[in-house]
Amino acid sequence: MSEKPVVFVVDDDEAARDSLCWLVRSVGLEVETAGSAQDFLDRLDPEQPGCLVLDIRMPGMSGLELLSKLGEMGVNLPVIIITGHGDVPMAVRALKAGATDFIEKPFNDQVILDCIQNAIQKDAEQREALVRQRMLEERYKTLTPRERDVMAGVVDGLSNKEISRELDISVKTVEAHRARIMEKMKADSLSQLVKMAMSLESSSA
Amino acid sequence: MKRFRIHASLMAIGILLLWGGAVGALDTVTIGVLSHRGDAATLAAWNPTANYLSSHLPSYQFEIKPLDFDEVANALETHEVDFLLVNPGIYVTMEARFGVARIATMNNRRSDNKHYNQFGGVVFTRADRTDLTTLADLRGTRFVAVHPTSLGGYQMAWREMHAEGMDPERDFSELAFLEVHDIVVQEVLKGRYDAGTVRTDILERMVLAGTISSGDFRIINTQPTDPAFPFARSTRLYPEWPFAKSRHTSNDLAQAVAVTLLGMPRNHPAALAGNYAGWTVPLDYQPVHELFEELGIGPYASLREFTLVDALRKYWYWVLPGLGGILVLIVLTTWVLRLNRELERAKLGLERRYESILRSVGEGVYGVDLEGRSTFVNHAMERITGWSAEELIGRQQHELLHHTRADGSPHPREECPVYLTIRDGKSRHVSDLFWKKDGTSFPVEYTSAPIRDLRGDIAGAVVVFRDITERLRAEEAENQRQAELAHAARLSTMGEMATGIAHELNQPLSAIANYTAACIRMLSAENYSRESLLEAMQLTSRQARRAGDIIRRIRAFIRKAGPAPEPVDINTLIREVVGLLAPETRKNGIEIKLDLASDLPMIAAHAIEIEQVTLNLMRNAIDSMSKVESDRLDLTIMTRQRGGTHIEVLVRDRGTGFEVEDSEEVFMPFYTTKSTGMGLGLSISRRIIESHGGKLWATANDGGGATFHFSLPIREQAAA
Repeated sequence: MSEKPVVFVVDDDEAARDSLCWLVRSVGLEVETAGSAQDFLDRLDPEQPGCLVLDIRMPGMSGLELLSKLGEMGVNLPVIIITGHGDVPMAVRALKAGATDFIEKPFNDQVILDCIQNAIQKDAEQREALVRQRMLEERYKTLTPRERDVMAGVVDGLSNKEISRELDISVKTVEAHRARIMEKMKADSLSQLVKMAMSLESSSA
Repeated sequence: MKRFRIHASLMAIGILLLWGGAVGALDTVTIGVLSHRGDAATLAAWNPTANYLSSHLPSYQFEIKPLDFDEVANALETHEVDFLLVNPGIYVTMEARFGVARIATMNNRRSDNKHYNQFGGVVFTRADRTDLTTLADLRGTRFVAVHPTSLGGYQMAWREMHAEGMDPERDFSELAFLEVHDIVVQEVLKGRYDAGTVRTDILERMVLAGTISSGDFRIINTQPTDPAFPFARSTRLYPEWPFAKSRHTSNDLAQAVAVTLLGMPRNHPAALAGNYAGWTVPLDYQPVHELFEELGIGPYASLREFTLVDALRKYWYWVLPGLGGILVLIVLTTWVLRLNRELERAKLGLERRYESILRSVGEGVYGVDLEGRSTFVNHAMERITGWSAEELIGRQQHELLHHTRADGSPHPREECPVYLTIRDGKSRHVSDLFWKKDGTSFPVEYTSAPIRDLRGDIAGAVVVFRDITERLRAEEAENQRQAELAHAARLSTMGEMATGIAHELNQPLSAIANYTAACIRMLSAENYSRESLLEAMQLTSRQARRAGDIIRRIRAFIRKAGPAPEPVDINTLIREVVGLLAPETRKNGIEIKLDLASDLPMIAAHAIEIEQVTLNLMRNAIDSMSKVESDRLDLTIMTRQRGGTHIEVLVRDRGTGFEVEDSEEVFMPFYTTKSTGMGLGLSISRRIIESHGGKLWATANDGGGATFHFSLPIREQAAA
C-alpha cells in the first residue's frame, strides 16, 4: 500500500513507448517500459501496484496473449489496451480477456491520462480489497471448528435456539460461541459478519 | 590383210607424193578403183591405165586410188576421186546417190582371149547331181555364192531365183558366201555344197587352167547360147564395169578422158595389165537398175520387203544377243536418262531454291572474298542499304557499311568482325550499325560466317544481317508497357497497404502528440527543466522526420521508374522495403530477420522495380504466415553473392508454403490464393527480374514455408 503506483508501458515501437513515458511522467507518475510482452513478464512484480498500458499488436507474444497469460497467473493488474487499428472485434476480445480499457491511437492526452488514473485507482482498490480479504481469512482461520459451525448458522439467519438444537448444544453455549466469533472476526454487527462470510465464501468458491 | 592394205596405201601415197613433187604444177586427177583383190594388185593392174591417160592428156596427172567396197561412197562424198571405176552394181548405187555418170564401159578380156563388154552369172551343180535340174529344185539345198554384193557371183542368180518365186535367204537349207569365185567352184566340186553360183567365164577359165574338168559340172537354168557371148550362163547379161565421172568433174575433162579411153588399142600394155581389151561407148545400165529394183537392194533397198521374219531367220544368232544388248542398252539408257533428268531437276531445283531463298529472305545477305570485297549481294541487301548490287560488288564492304560506330567514332577495319571471321574462320553474331547509301544509319544484327572451299580453306565470309529498327522500337514499346503495368501494380499494392501505412504514420504522429502534450503539461505545471524540454522537442522532431520518411518512401514507391538503370545498394533497398512493410509485419506479429552480406557490390538496376519485387515477395510471405498459428513467425531476408556474377536475394517465410508442383505455377498471371488482389504480383515480379537479366524462382523449405529467390547480374550496365 505504501508503494507508489507504477505505470507499465509495453509497446514494440520505441517512439510510441518513449513519448507515452514522457506524457505519463509529466503528471508525476512513475513509468516503466518494456519493448515486448516477454520482457514485461520477465520483470513483472505482482506486488507492484499500478497499471499496464499495452499495445495490442506486437511481434512475438501479442497483447492479447499477454492478457490471457496474466489471467492465468492471477495477476489482477488493470490493463489499458492501445491499438492503432481500432477494430471492434479486437476490442471485444481484449475486454473479454480482462482489459480494463481500450484506447485508439492517436489519443487525446487527457483521455489516456484519465484512463491511467482510473486504472491506478482500480488497482489500489483491488489491492485494498485483497488485503481485507486476506485479513478476514486470517481471522476466520482462528475460529475453532465448533465456532465455524455456529458462524455458519448465524450467517444463515438461524436463531440461537435453532443453532443449539441443530448442533445439540445448549443455547448458552451458542451465545458464548457467538460472542467469541464476533470478537475474533472483529465484526461490529451481525450484518457486518454476514458480509464477511459472503466475501469469504466468494474467495473460496 | 587390213594392215597390209594400210601399208600399201601409205606406200602408194608416198610414191604419188614423190612423183607429184617431180612433175610440179600438173593438175592431179584421181581415179578411184574398186579394190576387190587387194590394193597392190589393183595398183599393178590400173597404174598403167592412169599412165596411159597421163601421157595422152599431158596437162593432167592421173592417179589410181584403190577403194574398198565401203570406201567408195565416202571417197565420192569428200570429192577425193574425180573418176570412178567400179562394178556395175556399185556404179548404179553411186549414180543414184552421188550422180556419178558413166563415160565408157570396159571391154573385158575373157578366157577365149576375146573381149566382151557384158557378163552374167552361172548357177551350177556337180554333174552327178541329177536331181537338180531347175532353179526350183534348189529349194532346201545347201547353196554357195561369192558375196552378197557380188553382181555376177550372187545377185544375178538371185534375180533369176526371185523370178521363180524363190527367196535364197529363206529357201536354202544353207546359204554361204566364200568371197572367191574359184573357191566357190571347188567347194561345190568337193560336195560340201549342193550348188553354187559364180560369174560367167569362171568355169571356162578354170577348165583352161586345168583346175577342173569340163564335165565336172552341170549348169542349171541354162540360157540359150548367144554367138556374141559364148560362155555358159544361167542369167541375163549385164553391162561390164563402167568408167564414170564424179559429179564435180568437169565435162571437158570427162570428155577428153572418154575419148582417150575409147581410143586405147585393145592390146595396149595398159589394157593387158588391167586384163581388159580397151573401152567402148558406155552401155545402158538399166538392166542393173532393174535387177536392184526387183530385188529391192542397192539404191532400192527400201523397196525390198525384208520382213522381220526374214531378218530373224537369217540373222537370229546376231539378232538375239543384239536384241538382248539393245534391251540392256535401252534399259541402261533410260535409267541413265532418268537419272540425268532427276539430277538436272535436282540441280535446277537447288539453284532455284538457292535463288529464291536469297531473293525471298528478309535478311540482307552478302558474301565477301578474302580481301573483304563483296562478291555477291541479295535483293534484300540492295533494298535495305540503298546500294545497288553493281555498286556493292567488288567494293570493300567495311568502308561502305560500317565505317563509323554508333557514337560517331571511326570503326577501324581491323576490328571489323567480318574481317576477323575471314582471319580466324569463326562465326560471329554481332549487334552493330550499318550505314545506308543516303548517309543514314540503322541498327542491325548480323552473323558473319566463313565460306570454305572444297579443301576446307577459308575463301571468304558470308554475312546475313537484319535491320532491327522495328524490333528495337517494339521492344521499347513493350518495355514501356511493362513499366506501366509494374507502376499500376505498385499503385494497387499501395492501395492494399493503405491501412497499414496509415497505422505506420500513426506511430510518429501519436508520438509527436504525446511529446508535445507532455511538454505542455510540464510547462503548465511549471514543473520542468530546460534540458528535459529540449530533449522532448528533439524527440518530437525526430518523429516528425520519421513521418516524413514514410511519406517519402510511399511517394518513391508509387513514382514511375526512370528510363535508365541506376547504381543500387541492394541491402539499403531491402531496408527501405522492410520500413514500408513495418505496419504489416507488426499487424501480423511477424519478426523480420535480416541476414545481409556486407561486401556486396553495387548493381545497376531500376531501384524502384527491384524494391517492388522485394516488397511483393515479402507481402506474399506475410500473407502466407498470417494463415498459420505459431508463436514463431519470422521472415528472413538474406542477400549473398553467387559465383561472382550474381547477387541473390532470398525471402524465406514460415508460412503455408506450396506444393512442389506449384513452384512454377505461382508465377503464372492471375494465380492467387488470396481473396483480394489480382494474382499479378509474381508474374510482374518475374518479368521485372528477367528484364534485369536475372532469375526469380521459388523453393519449398524443409521445415514448412517457402523461399523465394531472385538473382541479379553484377555488371557495369544492367540490361533494361
